[in-house]
Amino acid sequence: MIASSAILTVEGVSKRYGSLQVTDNLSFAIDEGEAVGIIGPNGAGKTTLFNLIGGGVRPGTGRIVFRGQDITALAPPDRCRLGIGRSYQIPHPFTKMTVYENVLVGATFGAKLAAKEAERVSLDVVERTGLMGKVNLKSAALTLLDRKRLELARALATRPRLLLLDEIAGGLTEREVRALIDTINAVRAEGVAIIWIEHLMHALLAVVDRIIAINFGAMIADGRPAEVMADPRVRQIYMGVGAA
Amino acid sequence: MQEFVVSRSTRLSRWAGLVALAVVSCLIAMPWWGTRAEIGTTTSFLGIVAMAQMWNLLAGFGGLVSIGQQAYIGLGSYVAVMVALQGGLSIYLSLPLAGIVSAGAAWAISFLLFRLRGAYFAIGAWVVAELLRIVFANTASLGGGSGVSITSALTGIGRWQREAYALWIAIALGVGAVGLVYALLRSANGLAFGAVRDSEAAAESLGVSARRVKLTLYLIASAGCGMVGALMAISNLRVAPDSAFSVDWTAIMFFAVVIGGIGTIEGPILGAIVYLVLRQSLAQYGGWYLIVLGVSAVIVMRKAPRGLWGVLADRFDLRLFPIDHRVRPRERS
Repeated sequence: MIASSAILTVEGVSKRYGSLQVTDNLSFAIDEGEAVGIIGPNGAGKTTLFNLIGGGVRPGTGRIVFRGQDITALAPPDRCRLGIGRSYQIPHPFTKMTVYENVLVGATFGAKLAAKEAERVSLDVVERTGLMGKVNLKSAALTLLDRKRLELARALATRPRLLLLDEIAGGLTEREVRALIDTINAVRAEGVAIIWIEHLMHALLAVVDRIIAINFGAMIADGRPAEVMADPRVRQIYMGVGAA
Repeated sequence: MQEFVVSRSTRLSRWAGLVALAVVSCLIAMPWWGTRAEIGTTTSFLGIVAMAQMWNLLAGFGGLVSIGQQAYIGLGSYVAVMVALQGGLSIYLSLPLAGIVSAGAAWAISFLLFRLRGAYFAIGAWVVAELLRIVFANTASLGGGSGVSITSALTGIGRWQREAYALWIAIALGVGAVGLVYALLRSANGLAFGAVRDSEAAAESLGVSARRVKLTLYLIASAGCGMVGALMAISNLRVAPDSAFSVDWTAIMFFAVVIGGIGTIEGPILGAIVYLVLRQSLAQYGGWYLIVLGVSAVIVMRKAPRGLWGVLADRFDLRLFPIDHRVRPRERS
C-alpha cells in the first residue's frame, strides 16, 4: 500500500512508441513537500516521464494518481488546474505577449484566480523570479536565462502543489544557477513538492533529498542522493565510470 | 517593497475612440449625404471589415488558417433566402438567424474538421464549403445552380430605405465585429487566445484548454461570417451558390488580414481599405486587379510579415486598441 502522505503515485506506467520502450513499468511515489531529482543519460525517458505526469502523453499501461485522484485520463489543462505545474526543457514563451501577460495566463487559468487576485499573484511571482525589470518586455526579447525564469514564473503562477522542472539550470552560468537554486528552495519552503530533471548534479544536490535514476525508461536506482550516486549501476550507466 | 500597478489604456486610445465615434456618426448619416455608389461601397467595405475581423480571430489567434469560411457566408445568404421565400417574416430577421444557424453548423462541422491540423484543416474547410455549395446548387426550391432573387421579399420597401438599412446593418456588423474582438481580447479570453496562438503545449500546461479556445473562435468567426452572408444577400438582392460559396470570400479575408497585419485589430480595417482602393482603381483593367492583389500580398508577406499596420505601429508606437497590460510602479500620493 502506498502511504496516504503521497502527493503523486506512478503505478506500473509503461509507454512505447513502436518497438521503442520509452517508459518501462515505472512505479514510485512522491510525498507532499518532497523534492526529488531525476537523472539518467540522454534518451533515458526523463522528459517522457514528465509528459506522462503532465498529461501530454497517455501511458500505454499503468495509472497515475495525484492527491488521491486517478488522473491517468485527464488532459494537461485539467491536471494543471489540480495543481501540477510544469516548466519545459526548451522554453515555450508566449512570444508576442509581455512577461507579465505570460505569467498572468498561469494565474488566470491554472490557479483560476479572479482578476484582482491573479494580478497580485502574477506581480508577486514576477518579483520573486527576478523578472520585474523586464515585466513589460515581449517575451520574444528575453535571453535564455530569463526564458527559463519565465518558465518557472508561469508554472508558479498556477499555484502548483507539485512542480515539474525540466533541466531548468542547463546552459546557465554558475552565478545564474545559484540564483535559481535560491528561488527553487524558497518555493520548496512553502511546501510545494518538486520533481527536477537535471544534468547539473551540484544544482540538484543543493535542493533535492532523493534521487531517482532511470535508463531505457526503467528505474535503476531510487534513494538518498549519496546512495544513488554510489550505486555501481548508476556510476556505470550514467556517469560512464567503470568499476575502477 | 515597491508596489506595482497594472494599467491598460493609453492617451492615444481615448482620442482614437472619439475619432471612431465621429466617423461612425458620419457613416450612419450617410444615406442623407452620400451618393448611391458611395453607400454601396461603404456597405461592402464594412462587410469586408467584419469578415476580415472574423478570419483574423480564427487565423491570427486560434492558428486556424481556414480557406473555407465562405461556407458560412453562403449559409448565411441562404438563411436570408429561406426567410425571404417563407414570406410573412421580415428579411431583416435573417441576420440574427444566420448567425445562429452558422454557429450551429460550425459546431457540428467542428467534430469532423478539428481532427485535421494545419494545411489539412485549411483544405478540409474548403471541401466542406464546396459540399455545401453543391447541396444548395441542387436544391431546386432555392433556385438550384442559377440562384434565386429575393426582391419579392423587399417589395414594400423603397430603394432609399433598403439601401440605408443595408448600410446600417453593415455598420452594426463592422463596428460590432471590431468591438467584439476588442472586448474579447481585453478580457481573460484574450490571454487564452494569445497563449494558444504562441504555444499550444505551454498554454495547455498552464490550464488553458486549446481545444475549447479553438472551438470558441471557430463558432464566433462562423457566426460572424453567417451574418455578413445575410447582409450580402440583403444588399445584392440575389443569391447564387457559385458566388455565395465562392472561395473569393476567403481570399478577400485573407488579403485584408495579411496586408493589414494579422493578429491586430487595426490591421484588418486597414487591409479592407487597401483592398477596396485597389479594387476600385483597377476595376477597368479586369483580371489585372487579381494579379496586383496577389503580388502585393506576396510583397507584404515577404517584406513586412506583420502587415502594414505592424510597420506603422512600430514606427510611430501606435496602439489604437490597447490590449496589452503595462506594469508600472505605484506613484506615491
